[in-house]
Amino acid sequence: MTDSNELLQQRLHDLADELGPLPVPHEEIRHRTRRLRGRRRAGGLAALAAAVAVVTIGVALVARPTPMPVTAADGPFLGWPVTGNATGTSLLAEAVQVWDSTLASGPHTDIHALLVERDPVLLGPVVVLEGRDAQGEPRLAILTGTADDRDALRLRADRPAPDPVTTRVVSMVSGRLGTATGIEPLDSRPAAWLFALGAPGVTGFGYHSTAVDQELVEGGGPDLGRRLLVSLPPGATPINTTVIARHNGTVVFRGPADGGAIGDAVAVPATVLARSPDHVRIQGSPRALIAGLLVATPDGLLGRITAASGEEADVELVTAASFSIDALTDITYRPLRVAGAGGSARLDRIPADANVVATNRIVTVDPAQHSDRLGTLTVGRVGTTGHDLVPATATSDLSRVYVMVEYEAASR
Amino acid sequence: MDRDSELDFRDFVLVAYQRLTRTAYLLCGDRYEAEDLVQTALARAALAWHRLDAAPDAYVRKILVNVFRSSRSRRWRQEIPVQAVPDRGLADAASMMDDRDVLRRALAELPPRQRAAVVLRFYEDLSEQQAAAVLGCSVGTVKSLTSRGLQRLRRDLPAEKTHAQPAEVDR
Repeated sequence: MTDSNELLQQRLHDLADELGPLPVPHEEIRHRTRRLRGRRRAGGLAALAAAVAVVTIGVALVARPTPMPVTAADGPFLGWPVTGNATGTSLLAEAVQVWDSTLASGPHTDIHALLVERDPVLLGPVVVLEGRDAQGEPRLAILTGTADDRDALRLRADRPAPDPVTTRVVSMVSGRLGTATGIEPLDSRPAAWLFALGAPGVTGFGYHSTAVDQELVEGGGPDLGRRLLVSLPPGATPINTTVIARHNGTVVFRGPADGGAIGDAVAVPATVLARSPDHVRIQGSPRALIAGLLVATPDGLLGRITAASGEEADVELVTAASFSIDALTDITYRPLRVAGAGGSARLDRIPADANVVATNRIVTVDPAQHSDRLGTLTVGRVGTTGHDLVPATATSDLSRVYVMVEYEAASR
Repeated sequence: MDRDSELDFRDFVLVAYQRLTRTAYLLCGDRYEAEDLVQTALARAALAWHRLDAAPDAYVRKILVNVFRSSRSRRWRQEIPVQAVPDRGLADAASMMDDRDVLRRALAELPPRQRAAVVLRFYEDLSEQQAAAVLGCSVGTVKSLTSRGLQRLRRDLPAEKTHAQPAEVDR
């Protein structure tokens, strides 16, 4: 081989090594295999399936599915027994020490663990605790390692303890678990992580995010137990990620993830009071209703608050003639601009080489995230002309929206 | 798949996943798409695992390249070859200085079969016969694809970055 060929080889290896170590997604591959096998069988077995379906329906009418066991609450806490592969190790004591020392709310009392685990692939240690803070309020904490240092245990979430009677799943979605500081280096490939812990009896999870075009594990993933930890693209956030928990094939929970990690933008809910072609009027916490903040739905960006007074605010829609916002092409992060056109929206300043085509996703940076790449909001999709934008969020039947607030402001 | 086969397949995935994803990344230029391509290829391989011989790498690699080529045959992703790598604007000025970025862009300008031939020959280090088996074509076609691919790379990369000569591909 010539020197020049060896040099090309070396450069290709350098480029390929940009990826760094990747988690091996055994679960995703298994799911795809099952789905593919199902599709291949589907054609030949269609007639048989129809016959089986008739029988199954008949059986289902007389047979009852095994109900999910109910775990009694432990006072204000979830009465779930501890689970995980690292129970009985020093990890629990380490987690308590980190929880007590990280925030001013410690030291904590009445502490008990729900999960003590060492994840072999993604984040290393993952611990979920409940306990009372210094004021006696019941709290729930989630601690994890980081993708770049799987020995460093960090407090990721510290929330009021969830309802001990109705809660089936505790979950978190965040892009800040990649590093100890929660800030991703500019040269990294950003990602978000979804963590979920199910109540005793949960046998498997599905998940889905509107921030992702590819099909995720919707509801038919394999039953792998009460714990879920997967990496998602960086646009995944608690409001656009749906968690599905199953008990022996029966869905026992379906809903958005509980929240993000410390430092993530907080989605403060608000109710839609009225709507016009260019605006909606919303009602919510006065602390979240501040002019300039973005308002979103699980599908993406709705608009921006232009005026607020007390518990009510006006939100200018993406399609309003006076609306405009800096935006990016999804994944490739090419800058452009979205402008309202009075009932529709258009794309401006499209880079000549951006290769923007119909159905491409267009996103915008959420200022409340303090990151240009994590938790971006989908503004819409490129329309058929290549210069028009189909907004991500429709306003018809819209009743609940979220104001995106900085973590620090929401915590005050 | 019985339990032994499942464990065999799992071991194969553990060993091969990083390399396959890197190959896919060179083919498509995007991390998430690369992972998607590899997962699709591995899912297809899993279905045929029981009838594969002791060296499944070639089979999986062939599926991967086919999945990649299929993805590029869809109209919405069809590439439009251009005469030169276009300017990327001020926002990317810093990354333009990065050798890897220059190479990534140059690769992206190659038609899928040329790109696959270059990656198989110079990243996977396959012989022309092996690359022909993966691409499902003759050895002569591999020579032609590689030669044209290298010519285009030489044209799109700055002069001092051009390394391989089309005449030198016979290894």
